[in-house]
Amino acid sequence: MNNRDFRSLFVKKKTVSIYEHANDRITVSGNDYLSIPSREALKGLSAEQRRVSATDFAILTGADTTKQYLTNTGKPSAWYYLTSQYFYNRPETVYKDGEYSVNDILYDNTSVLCPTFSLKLPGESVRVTLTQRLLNNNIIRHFYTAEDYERLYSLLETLSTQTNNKGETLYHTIELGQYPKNSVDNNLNNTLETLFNNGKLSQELKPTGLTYTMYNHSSNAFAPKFVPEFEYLGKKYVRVKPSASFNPLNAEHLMHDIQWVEVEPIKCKILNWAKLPKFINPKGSGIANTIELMTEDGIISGVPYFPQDMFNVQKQYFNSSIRGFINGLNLCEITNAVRSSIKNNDNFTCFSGLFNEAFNTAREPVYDYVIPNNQKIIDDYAFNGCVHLNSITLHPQITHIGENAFAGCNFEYIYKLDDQAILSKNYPVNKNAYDIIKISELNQSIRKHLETYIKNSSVCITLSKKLNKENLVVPDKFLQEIAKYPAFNDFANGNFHFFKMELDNLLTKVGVDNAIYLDTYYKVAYALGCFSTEYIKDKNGKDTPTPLCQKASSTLFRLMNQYFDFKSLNDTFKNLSVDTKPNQLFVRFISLSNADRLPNVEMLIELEKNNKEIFAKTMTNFNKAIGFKKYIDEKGIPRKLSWEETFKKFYQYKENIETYHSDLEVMKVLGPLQLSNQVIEKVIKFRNMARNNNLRKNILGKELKEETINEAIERIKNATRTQLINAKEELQKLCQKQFTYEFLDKYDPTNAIIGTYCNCCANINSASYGSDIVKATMLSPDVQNLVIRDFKGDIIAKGAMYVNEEYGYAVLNDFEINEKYKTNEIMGLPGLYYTETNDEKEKEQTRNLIFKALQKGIRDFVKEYDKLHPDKPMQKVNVGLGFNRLREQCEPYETEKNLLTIPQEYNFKDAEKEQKILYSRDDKTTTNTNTNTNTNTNTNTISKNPEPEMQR
Amino acid sequence: MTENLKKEKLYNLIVSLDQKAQEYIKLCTEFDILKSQKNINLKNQYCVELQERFTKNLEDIIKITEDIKKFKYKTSNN
Repeated sequence: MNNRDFRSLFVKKKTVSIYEHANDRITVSGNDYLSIPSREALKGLSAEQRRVSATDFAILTGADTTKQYLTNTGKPSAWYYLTSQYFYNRPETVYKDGEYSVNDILYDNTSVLCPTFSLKLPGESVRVTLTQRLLNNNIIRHFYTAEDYERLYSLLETLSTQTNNKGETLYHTIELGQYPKNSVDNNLNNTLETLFNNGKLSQELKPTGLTYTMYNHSSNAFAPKFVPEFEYLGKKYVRVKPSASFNPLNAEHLMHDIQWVEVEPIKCKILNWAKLPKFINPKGSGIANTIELMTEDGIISGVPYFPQDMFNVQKQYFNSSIRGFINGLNLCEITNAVRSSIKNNDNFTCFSGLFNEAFNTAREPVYDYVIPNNQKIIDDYAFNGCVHLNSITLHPQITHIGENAFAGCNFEYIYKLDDQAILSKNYPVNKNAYDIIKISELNQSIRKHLETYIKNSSVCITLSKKLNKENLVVPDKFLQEIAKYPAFNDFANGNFHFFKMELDNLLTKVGVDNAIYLDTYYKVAYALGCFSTEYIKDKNGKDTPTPLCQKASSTLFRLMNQYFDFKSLNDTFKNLSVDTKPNQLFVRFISLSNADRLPNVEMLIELEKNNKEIFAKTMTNFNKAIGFKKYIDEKGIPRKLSWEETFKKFYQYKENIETYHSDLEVMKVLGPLQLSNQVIEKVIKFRNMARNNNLRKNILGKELKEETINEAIERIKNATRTQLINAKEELQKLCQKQFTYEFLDKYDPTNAIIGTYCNCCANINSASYGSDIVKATMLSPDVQNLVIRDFKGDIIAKGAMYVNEEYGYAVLNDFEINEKYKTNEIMGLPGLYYTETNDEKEKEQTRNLIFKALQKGIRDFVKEYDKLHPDKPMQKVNVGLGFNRLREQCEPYETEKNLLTIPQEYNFKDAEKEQKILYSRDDKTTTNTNTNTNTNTNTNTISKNPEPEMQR
Repeated sequence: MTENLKKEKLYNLIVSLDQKAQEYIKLCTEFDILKSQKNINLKNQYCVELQERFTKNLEDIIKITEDIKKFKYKTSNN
């Protein structure tokens, strides 16, 4: 795998998002390096051809696949989004069966991503005539540096053809960049995990310092997770903790809690093969100035179309999270409030994120990672196994740190610098660092420790901003107390003018069990003046009747409700022992119930323990149900449903979802008319009733319709196309079945490695007797190879033939054929291959044709031999049956009773025990008992028939 | 059928199918142009002719396909 930066070969292309309704056609364009397939790009492909599979890495990141539908290479199919729009507010998708579909739920993060992109071609190589060039002024002549040429040629070395089971060409591929792809087998997984855990990292398993980013999408926010790369015995692997949306039912082979996945070159389909210049495609027209590519498999999943489902504008490709993700936008920037963040990035720099990770294999490793300010959540297992990291810097705006976020990172110290918290392998060199703690001496987890610190800081900053906005200042008498807490420094220069209120109410509301947060509340409450007995002063400096603590407490309450929603429930859930780790969305889901309904949560957990699918289903359903909460009614007015109504609506939809897919034509006809769901459901219901009753489509039992001339021509055109394809296939089959014989020239070096072509031991270095046969075919005057070539001229079968001129006979050791033409072979008798008779008819016919070619070779040989030796013509030609791959074809021939002999040094072992007579000069024989001087006495049957005829 | 005759026959089949395929491509291009001009109706003589040429093309290809099948049958029986 060469380390190269392929990004200079990429060309920015217009990203087109099309919505067609009645006569309207809206086209919105961006200018991106990477895009996803569009309906136009898939034009002309059948449903089967549109299907794509998912790599193991994509499945681990949440791709939804099914074995029910297979791609044309036989892999389970996944679904994916398109750039095109079906309605003005619905992105189009290709469902797992390959049919076009729509997905209302933009939260759904189980689609795979198959990036499409264009690579520039050198201008000089574009084979266009001068006239064409003059006519097409828009032909771009790309500038190519010497390095670009080198990169392009390295890509072309990987050019290959993808065929189906029948050997038909499906498409052509090249490989570039690298990305995690296939999981390793169980043994290697265990080996790598053991090496990782035993600390043998630097010796055998070396961290490369590179990571791959996968995103978790929860609570309408994105959190990245970094997958570290390691080198082991020259190959690269990543250590993956499957994402929360990974469904083990999709892939039984991915059973490990930590799965190792090999990093491999990305295989890409060439979409414009016919238009490529001749130095790539010898039959190409050469009019293309770019190579249009699409990854063969879905390479990653887990990114929803958009994190929320609120505004129609988000449902267009140029606003989608997917566009941002593949072009290198940090998804943490995408929030509902900044819904146009992706669109505004019309000119992505693209030198980060997926684009960089996939196509720049020469990128520099990052050893000191600073969490960006727009990232508020650190996901579970976010840095799991990132042993190469020397430090991670956390900012105080982080609202959540996931379980095991820093597991397996080997950090030794945790300290604070300014208002940042830093995890580091080394003792801090900066003198301003404070609160330095050795992690081994911590009496709680890193997460808990950081969380306390961050909560303090974030509470402080949030309050500070809020208080500043309300022009509230800290009273002097509290400054001294506040100064003890570095987190409260922001209040240090102000004055409080708060009112008194009882603390008991506050504590009751917060909940006495929440010890972790209680400490914070006390501090904040104290700082705000909740404990004060003073009275607030008016504008003139006089005391008012309202106590300071009253105002302080009410302010604190308001802020708490605003910023700490569902916190207590969150903790309650976490404290319960559950096998499956809690998920933010699930927590939010259960928090929709009030505290009185908490027993429901425990019941769910209990169910989850017994049946893990329930949790997954609940999660998936919840994700999908969110999409029903806000909707636009028939009059176009935004509406909001209660949660109860939302779920009711969702389950109704879910029941009908299969019908929706199967009745897509209803949606296609009625959908654009923006009718209510009620109307559409009724239509579908009636259609299903008709179908269930096996109602005939037409009274006459057949379609009766007058064809327009346009339809007539289209019909004939399509019929011709089908006919042409059929005829072409028939011709190809005919051409492929042209087998010709040749007696291979003794000086031909191919003799030395003839076994390589025919899958046998006849090689010059063979340890078996094959080397003796090779030696004989190259050095002995009486041995020669009879080979069969296919229509391309490749050798696909052979038989080594010994000719005894003295007695006028020949013996072929056996017939060997190429793997492609072999039938299933099992060991019958020791040393013998048994040919199954119930093999495919087609293969059997092909073997018959090969045998016919061999027969013809023998016949012609005898003819020519007889001309040369009129006094001693050829009497008999036998073939050995030892390891004969055409045993079935030889079986009908007469068995030789007195074996013809071959000099021992030639080692024709397959003809030593059993021989069949392929040619005999005359059946009316004179029995001629001869003694062969080389070996034992044999009785040979000599015929006198002057015309060589194959015996049968 | 001799080997040389077989080869010649096969070559002729390939060439004639190729010619018809080229003709088909030309017809499709003409049809696309007509469609882009939104000028497809029974009154347009050119359209009717195009349909006839398409039909002729299809018939020729069907004939060639039959020839191929006959050739295949003959060669496999030899």
